[in-house]
This record gives sequence, structure tokens and C-alpha cells, in this order.
Amino acid sequence: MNMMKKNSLSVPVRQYTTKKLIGVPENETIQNACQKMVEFRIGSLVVCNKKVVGFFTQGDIIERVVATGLSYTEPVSKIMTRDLITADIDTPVYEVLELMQKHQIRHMLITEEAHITGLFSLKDLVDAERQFLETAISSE
Amino acid sequence: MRIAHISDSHIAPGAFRTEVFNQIVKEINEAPFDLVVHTGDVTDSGLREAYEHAASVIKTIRKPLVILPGNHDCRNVGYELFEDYFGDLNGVRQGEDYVLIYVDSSIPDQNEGRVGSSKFTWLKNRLIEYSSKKYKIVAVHHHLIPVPKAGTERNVLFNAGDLMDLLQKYDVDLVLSGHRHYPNVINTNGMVISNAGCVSCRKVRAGDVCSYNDITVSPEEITVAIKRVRDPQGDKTSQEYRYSRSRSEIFVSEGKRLSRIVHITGTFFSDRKIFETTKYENAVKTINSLSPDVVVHCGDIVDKGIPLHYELARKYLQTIEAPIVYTPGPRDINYIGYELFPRITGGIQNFKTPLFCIHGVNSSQYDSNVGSVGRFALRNLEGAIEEQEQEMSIIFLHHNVVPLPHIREKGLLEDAGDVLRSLCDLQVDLVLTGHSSYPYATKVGNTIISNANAVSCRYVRSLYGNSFNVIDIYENLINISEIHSLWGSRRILGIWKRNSG
Repeated sequence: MNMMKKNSLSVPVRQYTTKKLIGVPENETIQNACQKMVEFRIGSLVVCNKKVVGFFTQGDIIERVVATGLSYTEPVSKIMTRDLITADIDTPVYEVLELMQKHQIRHMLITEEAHITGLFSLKDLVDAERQFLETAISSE
Repeated sequence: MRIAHISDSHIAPGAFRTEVFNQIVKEINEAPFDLVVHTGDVTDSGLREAYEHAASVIKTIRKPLVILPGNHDCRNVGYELFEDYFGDLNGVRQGEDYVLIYVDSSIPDQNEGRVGSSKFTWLKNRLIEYSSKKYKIVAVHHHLIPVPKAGTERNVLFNAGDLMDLLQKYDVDLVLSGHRHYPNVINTNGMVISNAGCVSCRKVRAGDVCSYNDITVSPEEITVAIKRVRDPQGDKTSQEYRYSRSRSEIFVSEGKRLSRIVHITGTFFSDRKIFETTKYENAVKTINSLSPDVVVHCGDIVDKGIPLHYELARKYLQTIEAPIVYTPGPRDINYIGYELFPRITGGIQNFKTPLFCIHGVNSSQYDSNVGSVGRFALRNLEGAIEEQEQEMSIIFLHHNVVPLPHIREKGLLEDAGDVLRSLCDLQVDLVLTGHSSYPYATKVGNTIISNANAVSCRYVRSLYGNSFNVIDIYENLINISEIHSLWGSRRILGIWKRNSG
């Protein structure tokens, strides 16, 4: 990452973190969880059992459910990622991006005082630019 | 940590109440306060003799003290003297757990305030530098959010919305302000705003008395007690506010969706290019596909209040399948719009379902961009909310009740402080507004506030382009999303637990 990019992304990831997470209980069926993703138009869900115990994304659904033929009535605990990759909320954005690159993930769970309190996704970072482009190409 | 928050002492012959100041200082000196913060207007005139007098009075406070300048301190170029007597105009005070960042918001010889672009960047850099501090506190003389009993609300910070947005992004816990001579405490999305009243000035409002705010910050909560002093013998009344410090939430929605409201504004029907037809038509396709229970139009329906534009409004609005309720923006009632608005829209109407009652409110005035609800109308509204049978109350009006990012305070209601306090006290669930063309949602007290972007006007303030809001009400939460007019792409603006969910 060159110096210019590093400087512009040196702010804490706190600034881009969504601190309101949408979750499902461990025993929720895969189908119900997917309906929740559609309802809220979101690409990931945390799995909770009092605290966050797992996480899964749209990509995981394709890879672990559709591609393998797993029943939609199975609980989400069967497909969720249990080994959670996290970053502290005061980590600079460029370090979080490097971690995401290393682990090949597009969502990062964010912790504060060792508790998962938020989510950072690549989509959050590029949303503004994407919609700006949409507007630009639509000029009448 | 415990903070004594004082403000607006106005130490000068005539305005200053010595006995009250001495009594409060005695109380502060005897209590275990870690810090005293004076949020400005120490003097009344900013003159050298005023500073000398104030310095001799202020030194009776025997606790760690931070003083920041107010608009009165900067009168007569008093800002050049402030540092000689009270220290830096802008600065940082830190302890092991906390950081206090204080900012000079004064503009020479004006009552209004501003945190200009260089200072804004300085503040942002300090917030980044101290991001990991457990307790983050920012102090600024001018209030960020409208204060009740303020009379006409025209002295809020010009860029209060930008400042609020910045402070919330960096999880600031507490904001300390003064200026309005009336104490007010409010929680906005987890950030507690403490406005101190006058500590020792006679110029109190609504028959109030002098007061200070006694603040305790702990890992779990922030407590602010407004301590009023009635007389030198100490006949006091105290109001206490408690807020949880937890800002993050995980929403495990178990209930089904109960209702959907589409919230639009700024259609700007016109024969001029200001109205973008494709954006409106695409937005209507999306709105119809969302099947809302009701569409709430918060005004600026037409470009101008003339028959041609209202005829276009009639033609285009009938393409929306759901029932629509309207309140006018200033444009809708100018020229002969005051006659055409009720003819075409049916006038301001309420909308009721078994779950909620939506109350329409007029905030627009003929040939004026300044908004006002008015004392008489506010009292009627309060009565209507108290009498409604539904569990949820929703209000819609054109003008903003809180400052928004990228907008100067001009879009605010002139009685925003009283309106906001009243709606929060009545636990109104939702307030929908439309001025300023900026998509935004926040929570003030227990009241969620949604502002919609212009749906089809060429002039927008949002980088995301034109959009409208969709508000989904579930058994236990409310979700507000912005939907792009042209493309239908969606972005969550905020999710909150329902008051009665």
C-alpha cells in the first residue's frame, strides 16, 4: 500500500464501523436467516447465544448450503464461522484492510474492550463512491 | 469521574449575581469534583476590566478548571485577551481514562457560532489521536441541538449538524455547551449533550433560576443532574438524567414486520429541468413494489405554487398506489400555492391505522423559508398526541427539528427547541421531516427522527444522489433505510429498538 493511500486510510476503523448488528439465534434455520438478510437487504448476519458466537455471509450460503445441497431447515450453527477474525475498533483502516486481504474476507467483526460491538465491510467504504457513479451516469 | 459543568457567568456589574456564584463555588469546592468546566461567557463584554474582574472572581474555584470562550468573551476583540487570563482558546485536557477537547466556537461580534474548517480538521485530528480514551468529552460554547425556552432559535452553531455527525462517528460520550441560558440534557444516539444554564447571570429564561450541571461518568452510565439554586440559603431543585453508555447493539429480530411507511420529500414538480422525471418515475416503481401502508410527503411538492406546477403534481402523484398524506414546504404555499395545496392534496391530514396515528403539522409560512410550528399549534398537537388511542405516535412536518450534516442552521424551525423537547417528553415514536435535501436518521431521547432527501429535484446535498426513506416497523424494532430514486439501491440509515416493542 503506497504512502498516500496509507495516510488517507490511517483513521481508526471506528469511523466506518456499523455499531448496530443484525443477528439470529444459533438454532435459527438457514432459510429463516436468509429471509432476514433479504428483509434488511444485508450481506451478513452475526449468530448470537447471549454473545456473538458465529458469523456468516451470503458467500458462505452459496459455498456451504447451495453448492453442497445442505437442507435449508438445518440450523445456522451448522454453517457459521466459529473462528471469528476480529480487529479492535481503534485499528487504522489500512491495517484492517490488510488483515481482510490476508484472510480473503470482505467483512470484519470489530471489537471494543474485547467484546464484538460492530462490523466493518468493504461495502461501507465504497458505497458512497458507487452511488455517486450511479448518479453521474444517469444524468438526464 | 465527576464534573461540575458551569456556564454563562457574565461577570459584570448589573448582570452578575455574586451571592449565587459564591454559593455554587462553595458547593463545588466542597464536593469531590475531578474537574470544573466553564463553557463560556465568563465576562459580559470582553473588555480588559471585565477580564480582570472575572479572573479575580473565577480564582475562588479551587478545582482543576477548564474555561472556554463564549460569544460575550469575544466581543470587542476580547478573544485577544482571553488567553492572558484563562488559557488556550482551544485545547485538550486529559487524564488516565478521559480526554476533554475544547473548541472556541465564537465569531467576533456575533451571537451565532461556528467551528470553521481549520478548527473542524483540528478537532477531527484530536478525536483520532485520543480515539482509544475510555471517556471522550467535547466542550463548545454554542449548543449543538436546539434548547427549549430559547425564544427564537437562531443562534445555534452554523455547522452544528456536521459537528454532531463528527462527534458521533468518534463515539464521543459527552458534549458540554452553554449559550442559551437554559439548562437542557438530552441523549442523541448514545451521545449525551449537557447544556448548562446560567451559573450566576440574572438573564435567566422562563422565570428559571441559576444552575449548574453535576455530571458523573462511569463505565456503565452517564448521569447529569441539573442543580438549581433558588436563593443563597440553598433552596434547590434538582433534575437528574441517567443514560447507559452502551452504544453498540445487536438486533435479534423475532417479530414480523407490522407496517411500512415510505417517507418522501422534494418532488419539485415543474416545467423546468429542476424536476427530474426519470428519477421520479423510477422512485414510484420502487415505492409501488414496496407496498407501503402509507406514503408521507414532507413538502416541496412543487417547484412553485402556481397552477401549472400543481397540475403536474396531480398527474404524477396519482401514479403512487398507496394513500399519501402531505404537509407543505415553503414552495408549496408561495404565489397562490396556499389555495392550490389543499385543492390538489386535500390539505394536511392525519393518517390512522390500528398501530399508529400520523399527525400532520404545518411548519411553513407564506413567503418565508423560516419554519415555525407556533405555541398555539404545538399545544393543540400535544393534546392530539395525548388523546390518540394507537400505541405509536408519528409526527410529520417540513422543517428540521435537529441540525443536519452539510446544512447551515437556516432549515431549522425557529421554535425547534420547544418542539423537540415537547415531542421527546411525549415519547413520540417518530418525527418525519423534509427540509434540506439530506437523508438522515437519528434518535433524540426516545424519539426517532427521519429526514428524507429530495426524491426528484436536480439540486441535492447528498453524495448518494436523490433518494427517499422507507421505514419498517417490526414488533421490537424500527429500521430506516434510504432508497436511491433512480436505481433502487438501499442503505440502512439507522435501526433502533421500539419504545413499546
